[in-house]
Amino acid sequence: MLRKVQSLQRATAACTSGLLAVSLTLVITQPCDAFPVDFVLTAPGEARQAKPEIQEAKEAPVDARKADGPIPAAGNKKPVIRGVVRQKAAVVAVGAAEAAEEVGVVIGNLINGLFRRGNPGGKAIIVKPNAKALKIVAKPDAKALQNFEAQFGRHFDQVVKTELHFIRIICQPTRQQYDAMATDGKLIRTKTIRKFSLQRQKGNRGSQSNDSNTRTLIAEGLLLSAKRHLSADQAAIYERELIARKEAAKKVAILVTAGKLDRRLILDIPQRAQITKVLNENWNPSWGAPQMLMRGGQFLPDIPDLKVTPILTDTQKKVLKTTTQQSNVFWGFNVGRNQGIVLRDEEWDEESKDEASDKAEATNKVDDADKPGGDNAVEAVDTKQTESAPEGSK
Amino acid sequence: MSKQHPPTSWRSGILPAAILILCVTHFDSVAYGQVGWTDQQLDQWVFQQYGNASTARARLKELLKLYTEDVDQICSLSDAQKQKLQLAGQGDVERFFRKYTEVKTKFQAIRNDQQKVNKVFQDIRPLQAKLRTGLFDRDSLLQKCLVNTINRKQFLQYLKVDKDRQRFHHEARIGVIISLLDQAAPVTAEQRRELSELLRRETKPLGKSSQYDYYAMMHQAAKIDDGKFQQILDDIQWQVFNQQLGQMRGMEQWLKQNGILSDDDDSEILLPDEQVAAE
Repeated sequence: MLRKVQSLQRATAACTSGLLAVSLTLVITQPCDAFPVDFVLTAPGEARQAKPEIQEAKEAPVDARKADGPIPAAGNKKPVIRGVVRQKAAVVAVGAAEAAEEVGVVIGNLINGLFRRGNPGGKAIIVKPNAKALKIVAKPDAKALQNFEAQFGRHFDQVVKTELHFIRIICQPTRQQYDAMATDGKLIRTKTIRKFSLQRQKGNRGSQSNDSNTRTLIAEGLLLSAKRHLSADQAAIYERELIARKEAAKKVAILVTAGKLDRRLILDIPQRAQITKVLNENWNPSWGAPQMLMRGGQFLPDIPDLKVTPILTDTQKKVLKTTTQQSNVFWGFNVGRNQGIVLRDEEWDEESKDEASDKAEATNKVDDADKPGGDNAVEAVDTKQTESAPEGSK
Repeated sequence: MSKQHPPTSWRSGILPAAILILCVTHFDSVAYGQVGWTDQQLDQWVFQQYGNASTARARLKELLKLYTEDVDQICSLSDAQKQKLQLAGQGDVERFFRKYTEVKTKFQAIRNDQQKVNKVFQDIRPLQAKLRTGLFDRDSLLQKCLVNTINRKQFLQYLKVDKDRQRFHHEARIGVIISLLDQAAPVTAEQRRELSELLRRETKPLGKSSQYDYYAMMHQAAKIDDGKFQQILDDIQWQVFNQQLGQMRGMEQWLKQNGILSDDDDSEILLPDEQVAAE
């Protein structure tokens, strides 16, 4: 009896250690927070015909990619090892799609969580990769992707459409140039949808990301397309505008965040200026999420306390200490507040104005008929987050 | 190994029985409309982000301290002036909690009747609005005491700093409007600049600040002549922005009900002698 129990214990221990080994192998193949989106602006067979800009981007080492730089194209079929070092180090491999991802995400999150708890200082933990196990997948479940596309596809359409319209305003491309970019836009849309669908799946499993701005990603893809199809001057105009847009958004988010602090801490003029400077130097793009901007003083984002507190008086420090900062609020993806309208198609000289507006009107009618109402993903999350008790209790 | 474990079937029945009892109790109370809301629930409704009365009281006291320290730094208050302001601020806090106690007494009497509880929300809403926009706004005892306590020189210094603060928040709110438009239908750097100028010219800083500042600002923007926006934006941009503005048109009543807008929002702080002259 005793021997049977002992052998059972040994077998259990062997199984547990085996599972742990498998888990660790999966962990090293699992990205921490970010997952790479690789824009391929040409169909797989056309890769060799791509113009120099795209080719250059393809060959650029992934490690050299900057957060605000252009997104390099992929096309590498061999697994590439990337050193993604966030709060901890992890080795991430990118390769063909495999079903292991499902399990990998779950176990990866679990052990990532353990690392985070056990490693609050954020010191790097070096994990050596097992070359045989380096198979990771950045591919969403097909059915989930299909559902996601059905639910949110048209919101992404709006983003691509308005971005292409913007390019038309500032770069004034010819019809052919515009059409070529619109074709690229469809591919970029597909890739972006894929990314956000996967992000949502990961979110459902507890791994959230605050990388929520769909327009940034689409604009970066279209910038590559502009470099490919437009003249250098036209592409430069678009690039300049994108930089200006990003700067403007950052400025507003910093002003809003400083304003939120002012409302809570009643800052004086020099304090406001100093805090604005600190926020500027420690900028976090999640501060610019629409919900953070729209819901004024309600949510205070996660600010760099250590750098802010020296600026404050004792009473202000005490108040800041008891103020809740929203470090664990995830807003979902942002597709801009342009839902519920069907934007007019671009008009060109050969197309009469009346025809275009008739088309838009007809589409609007169809759209109204099947509109579920309040179909904004962002708004849906927002409402959920901020629903007030009395209304909910009715 | 041949020894059999004692039967455990009686234990497995405990959980379903417990669930059944809970369900019966719950449905019974629902059927008779006896929801039985607790005091804690009322506190959560009233104090929202603060959670309960004691936390709210502590935060309001801290806020009052911050406020008087700020005025002291600007105006170099005497001890007597500081004390007066503190007392006035405490008066505002007490006034708020007196109203809360009235609502609580009313609530405790009808807490088991859902329909009557719904009616109590009419009393809860003003309390929520007050906390949302701040106890020490222009209608507060503190503000009234301030203008009566400090001298003209101190008042002018205070007004200068207050206006700077208003301008700072106003700039941020204008930025939010443009930023949200930019996310929906991008505008050029030049259009951004022109829109900022237009909004700066045609809107006023909000008298009260709350989590609904964006709505209050858009409400103001919606009153601007469409033609002025159309001069800056192209057709598609205007289509998007007009839709955003459209959502805010007709929200005036809601904004007023929730204490975000008030009829005297345009009025400026006046010194006592100016108040007399104005009357």
